[in-house]
Order: sequence, then C-alpha cells, then structure tokens
Amino acid sequence: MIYFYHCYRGAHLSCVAAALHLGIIKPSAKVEEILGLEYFDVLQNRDMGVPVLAGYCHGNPVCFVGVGSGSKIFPRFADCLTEKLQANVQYKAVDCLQCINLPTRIGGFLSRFKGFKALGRRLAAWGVHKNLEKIYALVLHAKRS
Amino acid sequence: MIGLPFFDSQDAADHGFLQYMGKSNDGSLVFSVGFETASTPVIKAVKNLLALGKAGAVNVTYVETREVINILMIIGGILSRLLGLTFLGRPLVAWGTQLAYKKIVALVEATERKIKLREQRGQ
Repeated sequence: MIYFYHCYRGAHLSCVAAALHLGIIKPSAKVEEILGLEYFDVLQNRDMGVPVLAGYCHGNPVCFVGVGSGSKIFPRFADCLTEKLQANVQYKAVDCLQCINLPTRIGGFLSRFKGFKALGRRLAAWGVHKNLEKIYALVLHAKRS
Repeated sequence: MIGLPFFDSQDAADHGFLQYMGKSNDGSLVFSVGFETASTPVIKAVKNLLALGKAGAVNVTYVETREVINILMIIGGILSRLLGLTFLGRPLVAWGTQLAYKKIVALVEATERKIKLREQRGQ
C-alpha cells in the first residue's frame, strides 16, 4: 500500500501528515517541532506533482505531494486510470487540504516571498499546530481503512 | 459541434473522471478528461504514483489541450458551466471552438505523428 498525502503545495499539511503517519512527530507536537521537520515549507510551486518519499510504515511507502488546485481531481483521475489500465497499484490518496485554516493559508502564501519567509513559515506552522488533531484524525482514518 | 457527446456538459463534480470517446484508427482507446487548472501537477503526480506502484509499462499518451483555448471559450465556459447560463455560454464556446478548430486538428495530428514515431522506435 502506498500512502499519498496531498495538499496544495506539499509544503505544510501533507508534509506534517506524513510525519505524523511515520511517528516522526506526535499529535501533541509543539510549533518548534513542526518547524524542525526536514521538509516543512520546502516544496515550491515548481515541485507540484513530484512526490517526496517521507519513509516506510510497515514496509509501505508514505509520500506527500502537492497537486495544486487538483486535490479533488487527483484521486478521481488516479482511480479511473488505474482501473482502465488494470494496473495493480495499491494506494491511498489522502486529501489534507480539508485541514487548512486561515493562518496556514496566509503563512504559506507569505513564505514564498524572500523578506517574509520566516514570518510565513512560523504562521503556517502555528496554523498547522492548531489543526494537528484534525490532521492526525485523517492519518488514523487512512491507516485503518 | 454542439451535438457532440459530452460537449459543454461537464460540471466541476465530473472533473478528473475519464470519458471514453471511442477508438482511433490504430485501435488506441481515446478518452477526454477535465482538470480545471491543475493538469500539470495532477498528471505528474499520477505518473509518479504508477511508477512508484511498479505498474509496469503503461502506454498512455497525455495530451494537454489547454494551449488552444481562446477567450471566447473561456467566457462561454464560465457563463455556461459556472453560472448556468447555457443559452448564452454554449454558442460562445461553440464559436470559440470553431475558431480554434485548426489548432485542435493540428494538435491531434501532431499527437498521432508522435505516437507513430514512438511505435516505430519501439519496434
């Protein structure tokens, strides 16, 4: 089973979800721990569509990826195509964009600009921290189903 | 053009689902699919997913048709699909498509040539 956590840029929500899945951080993690994640706020718009292999969970690859505004479209297309191709690919696409809040959105936007990078990163991390329980619930649901 | 199956019929909820259009002369299956503005990341992500899942040799040609879109098609599409003003939007989309028709034909011909060349190299 391949776990595919996806959000807009793959820089915040899906990155944290993958870290939660792998136990790199706990649901009780502080903002500093989120900021300390290797791939937090790293992926850029040009990286969209390119998954990052965060690690393995019981031998299953756990990835995160940015799919732009295609968070609803991506799983539909992946399901359709694998079905038509009869490709035996076991995967779970998890839409993390449903856990976005205003601080993460604003922080993610600001962090793209040179002078606001530090502020944006911190704001995005704070936003993610506020919704960490929600993201963890999503991870648990993906693991169980 | 308006009488074509699926022409100006998709809603946001249909995007991402493959629509079977038929078979080409060489026996390939032809599908159409809507991606809104996310075609590049979605296609890239799915290609990577198939590679990661070791789906084997998958013979799929992805053809981006957004490059032939003109302003009439955009306005017509918004009016018809987004605002529900089909009576106004559909003729506009049809007109825009008619204007872009040569470009669409050229795109299809270029794709056919590309597939043929790839098959020849593969043999």
